[in-house]
Amino acid sequence: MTDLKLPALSPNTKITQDFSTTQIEVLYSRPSIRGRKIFGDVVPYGKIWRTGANAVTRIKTSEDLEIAGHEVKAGEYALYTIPGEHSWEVILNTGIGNWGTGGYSHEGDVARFNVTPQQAAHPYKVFTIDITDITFNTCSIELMWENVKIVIPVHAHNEAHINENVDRVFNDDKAPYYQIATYYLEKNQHTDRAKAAIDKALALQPTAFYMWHTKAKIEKLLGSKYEAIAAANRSTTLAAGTPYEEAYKRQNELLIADLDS
Amino acid sequence: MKHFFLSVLFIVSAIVVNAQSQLKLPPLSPNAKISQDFSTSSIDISYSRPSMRGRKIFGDIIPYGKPWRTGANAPTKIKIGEEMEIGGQKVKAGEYTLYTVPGRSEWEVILTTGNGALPADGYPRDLDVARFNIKPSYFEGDCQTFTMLITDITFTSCKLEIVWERTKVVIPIVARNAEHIEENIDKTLNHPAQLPYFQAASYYFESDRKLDLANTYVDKAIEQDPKAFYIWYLKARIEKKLGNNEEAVAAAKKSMELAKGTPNEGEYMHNNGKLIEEINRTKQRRQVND
Repeated sequence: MTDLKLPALSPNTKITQDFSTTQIEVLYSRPSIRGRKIFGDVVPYGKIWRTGANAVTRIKTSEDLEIAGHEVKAGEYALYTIPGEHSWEVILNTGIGNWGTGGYSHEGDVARFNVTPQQAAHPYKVFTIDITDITFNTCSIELMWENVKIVIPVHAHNEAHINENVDRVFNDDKAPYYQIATYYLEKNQHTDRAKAAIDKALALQPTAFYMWHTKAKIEKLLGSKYEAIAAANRSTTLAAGTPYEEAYKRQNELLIADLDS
Repeated sequence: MKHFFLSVLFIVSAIVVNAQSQLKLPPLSPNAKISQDFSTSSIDISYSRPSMRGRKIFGDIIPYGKPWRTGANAPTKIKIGEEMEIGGQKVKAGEYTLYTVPGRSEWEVILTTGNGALPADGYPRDLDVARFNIKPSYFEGDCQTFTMLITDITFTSCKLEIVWERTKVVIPIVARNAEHIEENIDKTLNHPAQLPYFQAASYYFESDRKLDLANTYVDKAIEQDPKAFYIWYLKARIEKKLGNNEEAVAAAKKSMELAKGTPNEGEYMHNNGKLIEEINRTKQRRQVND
């Protein structure tokens, strides 16, 4: 009823992370060490933990994901853990409205797996959840507190689905050809398709210096040395007079030097 | 400044959903948002996260001595809910763009009100709200994906860590609000206005007694907490019971307006809407009878 605002002991955090073609949201409260011993004491071993403070930590995904080898459907889940000295159990559960460990029910489990705790590179005073090592279809959810780090591998199994979608739109004039080219170039897969896509993109925007640089990279990957050099030079020429002149000149030169060696 | 390699590429590849073809592709530098409660307000960070992908980062992809958007794609934004001291400099509540100028032995950190577009001829200092230098520290183990992290949170201080490759830059943040908090505690504990008027009003209303007193008390409760949608709903019900239809409708509308965006929005829209509808119905009936 009053509007007295006081700093929280374990302030709330919300992380919203785009990942692959989905979005992961983490909602949690962050307790601090404050001179205490945490694991094996404040947070006892072998007992279920809300993996944070106050309300149970929640993780939400907008698409199906594989989390530590377990298929997890799109949805929001409570993240429980059972810390241990040598092994942690990680539990994703449907009881998202729970406060602390009250209300936890085994029947709500959607995934349960063990993770070997690692030594954190430095001590974490405040309990921290981080989504890191993000690639096109993998990332890690890290839990860190005191000297402990728990790494949960996440995998988006959407490559086949993306390929199908690219097939579906490829002959559509409005397909995002440049993005398709970049995607396959960076994945180092379907490089012929990357080349077809960048050529279509360039047909639509023949003066885009950054597209010519991408073409140079694709041609290089395909072993077409002369095409790569021509595209790199074209990129440098077209970038002249833009704020990106210097940067593209250098990158194109590096690419050509790499081809010559 | 001229050295923004990949910036155009990043911008374009960030557009992962093409409206025409509905093709969703994984972004190279996905967006992230952090909303962190801190002290008596909050810090919001929104940024894009490029990855190393086998490249050398600092001194190469991100050259030393040139301003960097401190991320990828759109410039990194930091929003603070109240005045804070960032890197030793006072910064007012608001949203700012974060720039850094990475260096081998020193980084320059810039907070600016600029919208982030860097002009080719250099960085406009007149929009700065803070500018300070920080010595980078060594980060053990390659940090593959560019990361911003708020850490070491106490009641009045925290740190903003910027980590990529083997470099970590730690920006100290202090909320100079201890005095303000103490004032508020004092005011709250010693202010006679904090009497339980809402409960008293609710009691008389629910027991259908002393409705005039209920109305006096609900007004005092509103004075204490003018934004509490649930108090305005009680006021609407009391006024209705007293036959003050206009006042009842006004209070109900106020309650609906204030409930917007809260978890109780649906419930209060429904209840207040019903109350207004009932009043309108009685009015119509009266008109028919007249």
